[in-house]
Amino acid sequence: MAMAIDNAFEVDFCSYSTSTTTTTTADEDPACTWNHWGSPVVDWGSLSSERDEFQDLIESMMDDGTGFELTRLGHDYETSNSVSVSVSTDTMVADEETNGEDFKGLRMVHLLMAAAEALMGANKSLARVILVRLKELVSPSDGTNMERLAAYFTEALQSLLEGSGGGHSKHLITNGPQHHRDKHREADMLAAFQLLQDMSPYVKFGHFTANQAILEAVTHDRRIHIVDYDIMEGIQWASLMQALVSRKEGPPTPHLRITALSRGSNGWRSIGTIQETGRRLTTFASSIGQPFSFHQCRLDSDETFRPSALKLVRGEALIINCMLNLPHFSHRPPSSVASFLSGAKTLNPRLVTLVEEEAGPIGDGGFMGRFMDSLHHYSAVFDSLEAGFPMQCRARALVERVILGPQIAGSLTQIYRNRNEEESGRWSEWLDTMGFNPVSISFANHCQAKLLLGLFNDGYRVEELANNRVVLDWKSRRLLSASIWTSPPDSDL
Amino acid sequence: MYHHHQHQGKNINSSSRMAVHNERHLFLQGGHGDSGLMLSTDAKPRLKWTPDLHERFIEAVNQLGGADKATPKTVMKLMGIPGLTLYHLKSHLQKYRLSKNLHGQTNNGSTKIGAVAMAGKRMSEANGSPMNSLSIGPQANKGIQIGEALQMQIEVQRRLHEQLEVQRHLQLRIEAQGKYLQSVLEKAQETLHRQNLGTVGLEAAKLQLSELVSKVSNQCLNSAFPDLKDLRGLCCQQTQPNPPNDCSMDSCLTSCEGSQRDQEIHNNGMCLRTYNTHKDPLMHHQTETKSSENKTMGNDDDDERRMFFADRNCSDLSMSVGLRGIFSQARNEEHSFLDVGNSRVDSVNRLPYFATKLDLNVDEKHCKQFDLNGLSWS
Repeated sequence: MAMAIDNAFEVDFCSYSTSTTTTTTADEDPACTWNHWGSPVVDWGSLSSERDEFQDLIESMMDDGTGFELTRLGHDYETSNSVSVSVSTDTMVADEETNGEDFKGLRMVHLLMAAAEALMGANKSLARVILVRLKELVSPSDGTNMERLAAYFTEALQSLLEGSGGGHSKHLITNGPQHHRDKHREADMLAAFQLLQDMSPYVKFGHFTANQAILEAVTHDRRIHIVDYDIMEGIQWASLMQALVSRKEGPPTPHLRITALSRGSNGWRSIGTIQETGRRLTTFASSIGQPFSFHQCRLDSDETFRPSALKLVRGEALIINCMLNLPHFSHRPPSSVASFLSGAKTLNPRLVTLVEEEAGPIGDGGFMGRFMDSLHHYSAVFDSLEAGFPMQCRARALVERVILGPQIAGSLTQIYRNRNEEESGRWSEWLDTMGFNPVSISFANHCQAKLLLGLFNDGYRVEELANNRVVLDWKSRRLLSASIWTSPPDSDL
Repeated sequence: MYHHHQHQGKNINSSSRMAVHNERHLFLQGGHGDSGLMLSTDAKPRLKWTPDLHERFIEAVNQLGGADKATPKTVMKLMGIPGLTLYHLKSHLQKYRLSKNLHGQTNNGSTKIGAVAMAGKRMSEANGSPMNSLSIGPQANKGIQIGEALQMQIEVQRRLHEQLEVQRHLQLRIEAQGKYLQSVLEKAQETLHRQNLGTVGLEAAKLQLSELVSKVSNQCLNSAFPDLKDLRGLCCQQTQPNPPNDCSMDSCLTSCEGSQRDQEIHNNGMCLRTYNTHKDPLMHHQTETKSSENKTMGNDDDDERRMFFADRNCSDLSMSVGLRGIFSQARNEEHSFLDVGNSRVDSVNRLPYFATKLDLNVDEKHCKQFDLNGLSWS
């Protein structure tokens, strides 16, 4: 067990590239494995104090008397040679002050990795100890981006540790008797959602790209039917309706029908139910003169989609819309999404729009790889919010708490559940293998995406990874991917 | 026009300077020098692509493996003509590439286009069509080249229009989304109020949240202001038919209308100028509103209502540059947490945010499509 920890540190520093905001280049000096993580500024002195921290940790474990093995662990660690560091505690204090933040970020990443590793190795007690330590260091409401991010990851790991199934963080309420906590929650949710909309293009990017593709696909249709996997508040359709009302080519103002999939437990995410969303959309549609009707389609209890439950009308253009990104809950059970998309195939839709979170390179796979990737991902998200709005700490903290925190928890839960499986891959790849045909994303669509990003910070970019797939990047980290598909022509009736 | 140049990348600036130097140098030498290049002696550094030169260009490009593989630098090296700059080659190569694409798409031979181009000069004078800005030389043997250039220009103009369309639609869509979100929030607020248990905590929380939202929009404003100032300085140098001096609503409207007409009639594709004409009334209106609170609207001293009225009016104008979307959206999103009066200031200030950001961005985009010369084709 002790060796596992040592190995963890060794392996990780070699294979994973930089993840904290402080890291720059990696030194090639084999003796300085620690430098793979730190900026060149971080020197031995501060690293040795890192070791001291762990010594404290281990000593506290020993004091707990949690067992003979742990004592052995502490002892082994002290004598380990995995890090060739000259222990010089004198310089520790001075260095810590200057490299304070870098150092702290580094330390937190190490601790998170150690905790994740321990969790994987079923070493619950060690993981618990490390998480305790982490909690002392970080807080979700103040500190740097890295610290807050670490706080959410800590919480997520904590809930994994306690095996609380759904992976919902403790912030979330159940639909219980706490009535005005509900309302607080709702107000927070609304505010956070609006803030997210304003501060970043995450929501609009997916919605607008999908909408533009839909518009282009239905220019000559009189009836349009959209099946929406996760409608939430229906925001995406407001702009689609506006575009339909004012379209110039083809039959004017086609009839729009939206079927929203509803789940047994709507979950903590929604503000109100699907019915309310339907009502709102209907009101909005009538206010702009869009012929509209709204339907619901229930998913099974295990969230499987049955195409037969859908009501179809002859002659309508069927569109399948699947949003799997912020702020929609990104981590729906894969079986559910799979059932939805494969069921969709049997219906021969005109268009399938898919927006999902984009994962980065996983390294050698497995839980740790995906854990680190998730860390990078949300680190980029936090950074992007900060870059646009450096002064609005409280606003960002709200968005982080209400939207991103739960996302992180969901992400880790899913990673943990699938830890023994092969790389799950992207849904867009899955669609490809299922036989859907890609649909090119038009010049106008690209243009729109670029213009949209231009409204926000410079760091956002649109990347075109395939002729039917665009990706939203934050400074070379891919975040969201939007892809457009259609059913293969030979299966048309 | 010059400002247009200034806004483009550094490369372009330096190459245009280089071209000017070259021209002067050759001029001093008596016009031709030993390069065999015919540089025009008018104010603009334009190189005459004679058929001979063009043939050498094509040779070099084919040697390098085609229009797509060739780069201005390699072509320049290969052609080895002193006095031929990257600047010249960049624009010529771009045109060549475009014409290759067009020829691939359309089956029209260049001969047809050449014939059209011959009469092109007369046609363009008669119609006042987009071919206005194409300078068609008197030499007959440039017919084919001009045809290509014409095609290219049409293509570029088409893309330009498409981009403008996209932008307009984007504004409207964002606005629609904002409206919808606002209705969601309003309904939720209603339910919150109805079910309000009168807890102090809830009110305080709502207040905090509204402050948060207005702070965020303030932030947008503050970051947008420096840009706005720069552009403002810039647009002062643009020709303005009626710079609005007084702060009345009418002037805002007329300048808005006027600038729209401007854009339609001239159609020179100078988006920077177009957007700036819109921005000016904004700036004026904004500053005036702040300073002279009680003057303009008579006894209406409620800033908020005035701004609301302002944006209503402006949105009634069908501005092709969709600032209306910006207005409405700003209004909507400020309305949502309208507990405190500070949002009033925010809404005034928030307006130019999208305009600024959008304009700069679109400007870049459009400029990329243009020939490096700016407005005219060499």
